Order: sequence, then structure tokens, then C-alpha cells
Amino acid sequence: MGRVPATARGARLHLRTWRDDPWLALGLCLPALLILLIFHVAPALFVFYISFTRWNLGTNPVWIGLQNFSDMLRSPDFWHSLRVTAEFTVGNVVLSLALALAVALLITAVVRGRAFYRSAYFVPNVTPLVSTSVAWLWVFDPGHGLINSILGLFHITGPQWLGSTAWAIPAVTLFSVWHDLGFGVVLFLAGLTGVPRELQEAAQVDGAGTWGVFRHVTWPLLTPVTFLFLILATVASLRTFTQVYTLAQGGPVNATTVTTYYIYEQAFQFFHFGYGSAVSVAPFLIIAAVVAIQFRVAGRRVFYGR
Amino acid sequence: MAGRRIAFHALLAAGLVILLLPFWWVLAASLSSTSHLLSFPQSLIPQWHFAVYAAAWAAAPWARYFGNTLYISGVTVVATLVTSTLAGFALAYSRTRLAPILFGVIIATLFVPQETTLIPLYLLVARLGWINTYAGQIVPWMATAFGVLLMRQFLAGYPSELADAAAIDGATGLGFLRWVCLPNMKPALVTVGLFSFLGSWSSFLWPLLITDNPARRPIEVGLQTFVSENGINYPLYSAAAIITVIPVVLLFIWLQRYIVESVARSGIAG
Repeated sequence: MGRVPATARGARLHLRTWRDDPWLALGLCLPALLILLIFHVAPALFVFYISFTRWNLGTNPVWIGLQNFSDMLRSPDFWHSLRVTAEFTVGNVVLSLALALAVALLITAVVRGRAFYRSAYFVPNVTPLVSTSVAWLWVFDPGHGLINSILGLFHITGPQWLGSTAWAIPAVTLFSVWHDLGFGVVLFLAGLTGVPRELQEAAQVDGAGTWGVFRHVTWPLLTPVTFLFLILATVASLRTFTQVYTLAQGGPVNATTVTTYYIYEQAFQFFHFGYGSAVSVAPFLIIAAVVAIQFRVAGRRVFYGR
Repeated sequence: MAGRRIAFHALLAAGLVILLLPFWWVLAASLSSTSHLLSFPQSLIPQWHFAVYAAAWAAAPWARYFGNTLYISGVTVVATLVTSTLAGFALAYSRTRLAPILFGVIIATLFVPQETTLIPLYLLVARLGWINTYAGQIVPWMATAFGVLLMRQFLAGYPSELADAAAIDGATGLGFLRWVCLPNMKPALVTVGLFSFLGSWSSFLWPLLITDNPARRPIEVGLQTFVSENGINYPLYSAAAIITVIPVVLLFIWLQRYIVESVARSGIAG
């Protein structure tokens, strides 16, 4: 590209067009801005106010200071919901990561049918959660469900799944892994296309085995994608509500009452808006903390360079 | 090498069978006359009895639910496309000092989880008299920070000299958007439109909170209500679930390329 003549450069500096008009910028952003400010930003600020009040259905809010927060920190139900959320999140993220990466590596290794496998593994992901989780109620049935029928073929008596306090969270996790697997596969496939084949081949020439190539070439180059996956999967897991509602309604005996379900219960079944708001500040803080921790860890571990 | 490829194909196919088996089993079992008496693996062979489907279809106003969902997601998609395109365009091309401020405000909303705003949003929408209305299910979702961000990133990929050249030739901002940007924006429009549509179609918690009237209920909430009103009847549930899932699966088969590539590009799940 040639040098811009000095006169043209000067002329461009003085040329004022619609690109310099702040009113046009504001006007074009206004529809989006109004919706976001009124229905998302204002509520996000208002939730802090509500959390300092006692506000039940049909009453006016009464300022009670930090009462809701101290109630929350002393409530075993709140801590229980955090523990259930953590159990679900760890199981869901770890299983999804391992399976999605394995499937993506296999798809990258075959030559024909990549597009087919990618789409086919993605199918469960587009199904609405309510529709498929309703169908999975039957899959999980202890007597005649698909899973226990298959286990029965091997003379294994399957667990009660959604009817058991110990197996309800594993069941919800299993469903979630099944539903979301395709998303991780697509993400890792996109990441794997960015790993140069010459590097893998060079490592093979130098005597690295399949595991060695993966461990020392593919995996380090994949860390940015893995990091993105970890953040997205963790945040999505922390926010899970729909399948908990449709599969188990938080039960049995609160076994699947994740924090989002606890908020729902407090605010929209018992109509404790104030207390519910105090609890709903928790996901915000937890998600922010998790993302911050992951960024810190990633700062040391993620390989961005060439 | 060839042997290894065959082994990989076998593994991938086996994984796919495991993944799709629940679909098939629920479909086959719901199509048999005496599904509760059948044992696995006989229950994998459908007997083509549609009686339970007829019963499920008759037991709830599914057509109304579908209509509601189509209307809600249709309006949401169109509105989201308009708001995201306008704002994304302004943020990509504006040289004013206002632009980065507006961009910052919009990006900040990305970090507010919906669970946190649920209660105040509900109180606001109730105050507006929007319980059991379409407006309550549409208006709060007519713009998304994700949509604005994606449009901006897409347009920022073009050389901004293009806009200057057009301005010298006398094009207005909206003229440039209409005649230069829009014809080239199909990938971004498809991505934002699809995510908005899938998000709207499968949204559950929000419509669950603000609708208790079947006349305004979307399909997913309708299905959940159907399940909670009918005792334990797996074949009936599953027939209803399959009725509700068919349009989405057909849509996916039709648009799979776009959907999968949109996910790969933007890293956001449907």
C-alpha cells in the first residue's frame, strides 16, 4: 500500500461525516440500550435494594438492613443448595470436558464423515430441555426405564435414580451431559482445526507416540479452547434450573435443590421476595468469583503464544 | 492406519448409538400398545400404535401452545435483529467519544446472570400489567448484549475507509447500512437470529413465572403443565414430548450447517 499524500491525510482529518455525529450513534443504540437498561440493568441494581427489605406477597417492602443476609448465612438450606450446585457443576463440567474432547479427537482423526458426526452429536443440544427431560423421566424409571433395563440384561439391579437422594444428582448430571455434549464437541473441533498438522507430524518423526503427541503438542495448543469451554460450562452449570425442575422438582428431600431452584422456591412459591433477592445475589458473586479464579489460573497455564 | 480409522469409526458410531438410543427407545416404546408390559430389548421395535399420540394431542391445546411460541419467538427474533443491527452498526463505525461508553454499558449487561434479576424483573413486569401477556414474554428479550456484540464484531471486520469513501460520495449513515452493510451481513444475521429463536423457543423459567393462562402459555411450559396434571403416565408424557420436539429437530436438520457453524464461531450454546 502506497503512502497517503499529506493533503489527503489532512483532508480526512477535517472531513466530518455521520461517523462523527454523537446523536446518530446514540439514536441507533437507543432501542437496544432502552431494553437492556430498563429490563436488565435496572433490575440488577434494584435487586440489592430488595435484598435489604422484608417484602412478601401483598405487603409493602420494609427496610430490615442485613437481616436477610444473616438469615441466609445461618440457613442450612442455603448451604445445602450451594453444595448440591457444586456437586452438579463439578460432575457436569469434568464429564462433559472428558467426553467432548475424546469425541472431538476421534472425529478429527477420521477423514470421511466429519461433518456428519459433528451434526449428529449435536442433535440433543438443540432439543428444548423440557421436551427431552420429560422423555428422560421414562428413561430413568427404576422398574421399566431404559437404563435399568439395560443394566438388567447384565443382572445388575440399577439404582432408583430420580427417586433416590443419592442418585438424583447423578441422574440430572447424566441428562445434562447427554444434552450438552455436542456443544463441547463443536467447540473442541473448532479448536483442533487450529492445531497445525506439521507440528504433530514433526513430533511423530521425533519418536513421540500417540499419547506423547497429544500430551506435548495437541493439549498445550488446545488450552485456549479448553479454557473457554471451562468458563462457559461452569457458568452454564451454575445457572442450571430447567432440568432440575422437570426431572426432580428439587427433590427428593431437597437432593436436587440447586441454588437457582432454591431462589425459585423462596421467591415464587413462598413469595419471600426480600430473602429470595438476598440469595439471588449469591449466583452473581459466585459466577464472578469462578470466572476471576479461572482467569488467574489460566494466566499461568494457557498457552497463547506461537 | 486404515485399521485404526475403522476402529475410530466404530467408536464414534457406538457413541452415537448410545447418544441417540434414548430418542429411539422413547419413540418406539410410546408407539407400542402395551409399552409397560414390554421388556428391553423387544421395546426397541415400534408397533406403530398411534393411540397414545391421539390421546396426548387431544388432552391439551397444543395448537394454541405452538401458535403462542411461534408468535413470541418470531417477534423476539425480528426485534432482536433490528436492535442488534442498529446498535452494532453504530458501535462499529462511530468515531465519537460516546461510542466506547455505550459499548461499555451494553457489554456490562453480559455479566448479569438472569437468576439475579429474576425477582425485580418479575415485580417490574407485574407492575406493568404484563402477567399473562405476550408483551411480558417478548419485550424484555427484544435486545441482547450478545447480539449487539456479535454484530459489532462482524462489522468491525470491514475496513472503515469504506464508510469514509461512501460518505464522500454522499451516503448517509442509514444509507450505508442499508446498501453496503446489510447485503453482506447474512452470516451475522443468521447467527443472531438462530440463537434468539432457539433461546426463545426453549425458554422455560421466565414464561413459567409469568403465565398461568393456557391462552398465553408457550409450548415448553404447556408441556410441563401437561406432565404435572396427568399423574405418572410415561407413554402419554413421551408422546407429548415427541410432539413438541419434532418441529425443532426438523428445523435443525434443515439448518444444521448454520447452527453448528454459528456455535463454533461464537462459542455460545443454543
